[in-house]
Amino acid sequence: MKKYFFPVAVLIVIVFGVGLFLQKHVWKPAPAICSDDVRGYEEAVQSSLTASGKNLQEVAVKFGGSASKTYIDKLSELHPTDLLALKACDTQCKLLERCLNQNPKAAVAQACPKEYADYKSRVDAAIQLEQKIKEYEGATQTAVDKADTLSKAKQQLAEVQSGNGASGGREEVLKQHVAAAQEDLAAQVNAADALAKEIVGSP
Amino acid sequence: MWRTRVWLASLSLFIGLTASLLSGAAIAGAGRVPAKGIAPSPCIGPRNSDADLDAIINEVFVSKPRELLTQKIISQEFFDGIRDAQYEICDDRVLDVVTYRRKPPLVVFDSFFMTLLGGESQSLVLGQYLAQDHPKLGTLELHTALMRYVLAQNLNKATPSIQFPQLVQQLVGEPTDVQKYLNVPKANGEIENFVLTSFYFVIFHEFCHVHNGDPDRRLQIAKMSSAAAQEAALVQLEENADACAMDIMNRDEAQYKFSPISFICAFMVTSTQAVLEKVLPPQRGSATHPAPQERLDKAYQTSIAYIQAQPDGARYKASIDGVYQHFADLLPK
Repeated sequence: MKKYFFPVAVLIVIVFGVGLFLQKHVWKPAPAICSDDVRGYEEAVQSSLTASGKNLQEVAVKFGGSASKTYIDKLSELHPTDLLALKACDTQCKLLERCLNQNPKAAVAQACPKEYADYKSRVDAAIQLEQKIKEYEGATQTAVDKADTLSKAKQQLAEVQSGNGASGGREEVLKQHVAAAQEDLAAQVNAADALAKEIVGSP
Repeated sequence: MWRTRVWLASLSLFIGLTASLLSGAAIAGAGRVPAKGIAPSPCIGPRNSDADLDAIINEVFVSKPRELLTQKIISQEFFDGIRDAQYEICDDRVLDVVTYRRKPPLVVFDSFFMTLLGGESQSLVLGQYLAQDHPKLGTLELHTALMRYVLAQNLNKATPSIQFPQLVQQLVGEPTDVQKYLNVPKANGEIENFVLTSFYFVIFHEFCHVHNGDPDRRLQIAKMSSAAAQEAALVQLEENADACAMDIMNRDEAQYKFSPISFICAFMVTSTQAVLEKVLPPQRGSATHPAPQERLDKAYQTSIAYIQAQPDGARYKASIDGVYQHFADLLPK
């Protein structure tokens, strides 16, 4: 027996090594049914929140007035995974995957009907949240456009004030423009804040 | 100048100041800025596209200084200071002309302001002819009616636009053939003269600001600690520009036959400002122009001083007094 011991040990080591190699480089586990989707929502939301954050910074530089920003500020402190709809989606996805691991051969709807239905409803909520955050991003982009309008009106006013006018009519109209643009921007920031409230407050 | 005639014929008297809340490469040599030649555009509304108005302004803005230099009415130094100035005409309804502190200097005209001056010129001349056929009318009543209409348009935006013949008809109280008067060559010539002279005053008032370095002075004035001192200094700049423009016009006028037209035009511009005073909200502690009455008084005193030095002074004093009283009466009380 002794004479077979060494070749067998070598064979075992080789098989083990090949196994490890295959596991690392060739074998791929079955794709998770929903984790990629969840990550997709998270990434989309993160991207919109980042863009919105940049927009709001640009607006803050040009906006001298006051507007409600309570929920904008709250939202800026949140990570996508802090948002309830995404968190619930992620949890439900894990429950579904665990169930499927126990019933790997059956179709999803038959193997885990309740988990699957719950997961689907969480996905709907996540999609709605994603849309709402896209809307929020759009609102912050509109605020940037309005901030640009305000900025241009202020520049025009400053230039007229440093020039010599015959009647003061141009200056007066530009003052009205600046006031209107300021008001318009404040309303837009308020609208974005209302959207942020819906997002932050969404269960 | 046929362009003036064409332009006057097309005047629609809606000269209301806007109340709607809306919302480079410098080219050497005086003249209008090319359509895409300036950034940012000084216009609040669209750029004016009336070629006739542009031609009239161009005549005074570009050709007149050269003519005055040749006649030694302005100095080479004055000419050099304004030779590169540019202008732009905007449809802004701000009833204003502003000289921007740019290099080269940029003068921005509001077409509504220039239209108002055109309408006033027409009404002042036409009013005299109208009074001959309608003895109950005073010679200046058409001008008064025009200014009241403009005021009403500005105070109530729903007031409709009006054509000149309609205004005349309203005043006379019966259908009146305005064209009959406008076809009289003498009347036409007088209207053109009035228009050009009023543009002359407005444009040279702005040239005087440029020559005096007023845009730079304003920066110094802005640093003054006292608001009262600031106001006084800004008002002084305007008075100096008024006096400078009138001085040039009178030296120009004196070489031909001296007449008080420059003063009448100065009154016309100041009365326009008076209308604005009524329309615009009060400017809180930022008066940059003399009060209308004060400005009228200054113009009157300057004109009397010039006239008294002239051989026909006594003859013109009565006209100046009458016109002065008329414009003073137009001032909002």
